Amino acid sequence: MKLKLYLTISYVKYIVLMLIAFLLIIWLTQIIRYMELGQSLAIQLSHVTIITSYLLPNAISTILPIIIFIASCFLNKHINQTNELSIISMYLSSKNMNKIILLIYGFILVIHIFNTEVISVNAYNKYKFKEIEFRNQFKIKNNKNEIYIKDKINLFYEKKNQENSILEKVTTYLIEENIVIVSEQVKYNQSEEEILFTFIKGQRISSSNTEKSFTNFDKLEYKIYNNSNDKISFDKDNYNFIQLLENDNPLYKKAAHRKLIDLLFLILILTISRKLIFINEKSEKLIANYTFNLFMILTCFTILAFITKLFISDVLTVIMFYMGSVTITLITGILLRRRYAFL
Amino acid sequence: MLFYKFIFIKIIQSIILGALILLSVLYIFSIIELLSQNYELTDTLVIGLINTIELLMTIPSILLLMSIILFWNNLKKTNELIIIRHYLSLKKIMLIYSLFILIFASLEINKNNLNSNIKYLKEIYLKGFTETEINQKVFFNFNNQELTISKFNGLNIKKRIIAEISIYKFKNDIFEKSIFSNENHIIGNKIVMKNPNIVTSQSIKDIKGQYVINLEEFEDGFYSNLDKLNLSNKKELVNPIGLLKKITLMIVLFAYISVFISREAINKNASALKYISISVLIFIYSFVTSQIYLESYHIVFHLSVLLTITFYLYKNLINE
Repeated sequence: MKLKLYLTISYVKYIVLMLIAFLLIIWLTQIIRYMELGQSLAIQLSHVTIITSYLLPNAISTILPIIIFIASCFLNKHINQTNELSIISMYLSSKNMNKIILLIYGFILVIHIFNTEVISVNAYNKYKFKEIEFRNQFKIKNNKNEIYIKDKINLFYEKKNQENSILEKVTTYLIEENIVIVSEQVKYNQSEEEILFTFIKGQRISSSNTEKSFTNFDKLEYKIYNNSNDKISFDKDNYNFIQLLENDNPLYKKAAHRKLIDLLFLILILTISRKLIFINEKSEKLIANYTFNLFMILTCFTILAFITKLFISDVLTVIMFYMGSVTITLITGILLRRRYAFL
Repeated sequence: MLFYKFIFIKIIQSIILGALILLSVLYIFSIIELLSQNYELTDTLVIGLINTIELLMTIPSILLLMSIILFWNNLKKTNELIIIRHYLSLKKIMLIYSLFILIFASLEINKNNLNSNIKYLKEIYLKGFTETEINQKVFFNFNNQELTISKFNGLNIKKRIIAEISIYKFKNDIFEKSIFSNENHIIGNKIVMKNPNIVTSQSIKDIKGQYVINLEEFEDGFYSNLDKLNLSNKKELVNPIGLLKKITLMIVLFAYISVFISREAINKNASALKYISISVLIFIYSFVTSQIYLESYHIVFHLSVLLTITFYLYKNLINE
């Protein structure tokens, strides 16, 4: 019993560790991508971290198959290196070992389906609302004596009065209008809808196709309106399998079929991993085996993606899509099973 | 010598393995993201691969961290790490690793340029280079006490034409002149503005002739996909914050090694969870602090981050 528990804990530990590590990496890449949108840095990090966290359940569904495969490779390497595999095979029959693995896989499948159908959908709905809110905010980059709003304004100042936030010795470029304003001071007030810049004592210079001028001024006001008014538009990730099937949009129905093939791909990985965990070989051969398996899995995944693409672009019918996907999955499974038939 | 070669090979193996694992996961992630978009089959594959590299280039140092974990995990279980540590001190192992740290630190420092090039590559693949037309590009060129703002509208690099150019020149924060032309050509390494209009504080007049700009003024930015660039000739001068961040990055990379190759961590029974958690904490700390900008005491803040990491590394080295 203790041996069974040890094997279960070891395997689950590897899966969970790998999953957390890769989720962190994906989370970080998403955070960095969002931050490039150029929001004010102070608000950005916490805000973006929360928004992108809603994408994580979706990311789990996507990367779970490959994570299980990688975790299986690591577990196999570990129990081979420490000779635990020989000990386990002495005390546990292959039937017993299969039982444990099937139990873990059954649990993973249940979690995966619950995550895909309930948690991911709910989290993605929240993400859509937050994302639109974020998109519709002013994207102001304010650092290193520079204020920048994409395609609108770029402002450089020499110093900022900390008490009243007045900028001093300012050179402003209005990007859209192609106008430069040099001023001694600039005050600005920001609301959700607009930013009002008030320039004090300076020159306004225009050198464009529509206007060529040089003007001295004592006070000049310039408003930037927040034109971002994106509305929420739901996509297939906002619905679960049943809702997708019942939807009138044919693309959503196709997404439902794709979910089934994704599940089939996960089952293929579980089948491969079940064999892989108990391979007993020399270290060098193990690495070659893992690489071969990884290559086959990625090839199978790419072909499945191609078939899905053909299905989405109406080249393949539903039946042809299922036949093609199941055939590719079966061929991959059989090829990898034959490789380990002698073990 | 054989001993050093063995360590070197093991490090390279773990980097390759780490890259393979990371690329596989990110490849699947990017292909799934692309499936719902209207790309051709081969385009999906090519863009998927480019996106995979782009994702990896977002945080290149994560690959080094992963390879250190793999190196530690693989050698620890076979007691090879204990043997290595018996003959080599932590400092010597760090020295061996320093080459890889330099490579990954330079990748991390230049990741914005690399990512910009990857994005440009993707754009070229999608649009076809012949069709490349950038709507507008703005440069802010700081040169000692001079500032030049240049705006290019309707820039077509393939046809070597620019529909409109506006240039504003300032010296000591005082406006000198602005030049505008809508007859522009890129000839060799120069932009020729024909019959420009010049605005000064005293006059506005059309000039018969041409005004020439050297493309080298814009460095590589002219051909990049960025629509706004700040250029400065002060690059040779040391930017203290940039330098602090670079040093912090190097120290952080060395700190990862000091965590995993320490005397406690090399034991066969050392807890993977404990040491991976420590390294993740260091990673998150350095990542978050590097993103923070303070209006006051910015340099003090980054100096304190550097000192914290340095003391942590020093503590690990002293404990040896």
